[in-house]
Amino acid sequence: MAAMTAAQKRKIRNWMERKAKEEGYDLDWLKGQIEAAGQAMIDELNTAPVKSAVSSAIDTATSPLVLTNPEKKKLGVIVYAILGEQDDA
Amino acid sequence: MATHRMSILGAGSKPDASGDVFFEPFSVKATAAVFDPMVLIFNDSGNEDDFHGSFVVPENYVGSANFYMKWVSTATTGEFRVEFLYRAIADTEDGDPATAQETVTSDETVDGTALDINTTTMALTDGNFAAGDVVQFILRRDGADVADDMGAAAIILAAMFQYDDA
Repeated sequence: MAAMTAAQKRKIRNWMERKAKEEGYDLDWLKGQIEAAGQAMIDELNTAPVKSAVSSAIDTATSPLVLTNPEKKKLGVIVYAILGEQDDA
Repeated sequence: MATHRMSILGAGSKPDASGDVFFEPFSVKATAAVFDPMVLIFNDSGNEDDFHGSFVVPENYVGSANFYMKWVSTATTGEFRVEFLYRAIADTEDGDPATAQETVTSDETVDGTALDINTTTMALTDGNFAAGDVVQFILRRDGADVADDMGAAAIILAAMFQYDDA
């Protein structure tokens, strides 16, 4: 899986720092830990079984329309953000 | 003999061009912020970030030179790698030096409670200073060093030159 760039790692750290401040919880992780967590999620979501399962679920929902992979990826970005807003996420 | 501390943050000090070192109101990152002074921020950038300044060594300077700093963070774990680079310049010496005279470094562990005060003291070489010297300095967060693992901004409340008189 593609390793995050330094800029991407920074984006994750700074986002988590801002959220900890805004939502009032302790920032009790180290740089390397939060970067590793982000990388682990990227790696997991990039595995063939996960991508295949998600793609199939989209195909089933839109049938007979089949979205292109770039369209599915764009959909995934906004859906993941919405998932984060839901209480049971 | 008494110990003195003088602020080295002033009108002559300035951040580098990174955009990751700047002054902002404490209330941006503080929670209660009843007291809301301007504070100096070193972001968690992952890079070396510098803050530049200068001061004049007081006339009653004798020795025991130290860099002294009070700082906080919203992080509750990790280390902030602080570096202080300087050159003390006497009259008729080059006022535009190309190198630092001394660099001191410390890996400072943040307090386990967010926004609790941390104190950093780093000894400087006494003999480098003489009363009346102009001291040009860089205060640095070396976020590129593996030792700097604190995942939040360092918030500088005070940076001072500490010394003893006669």
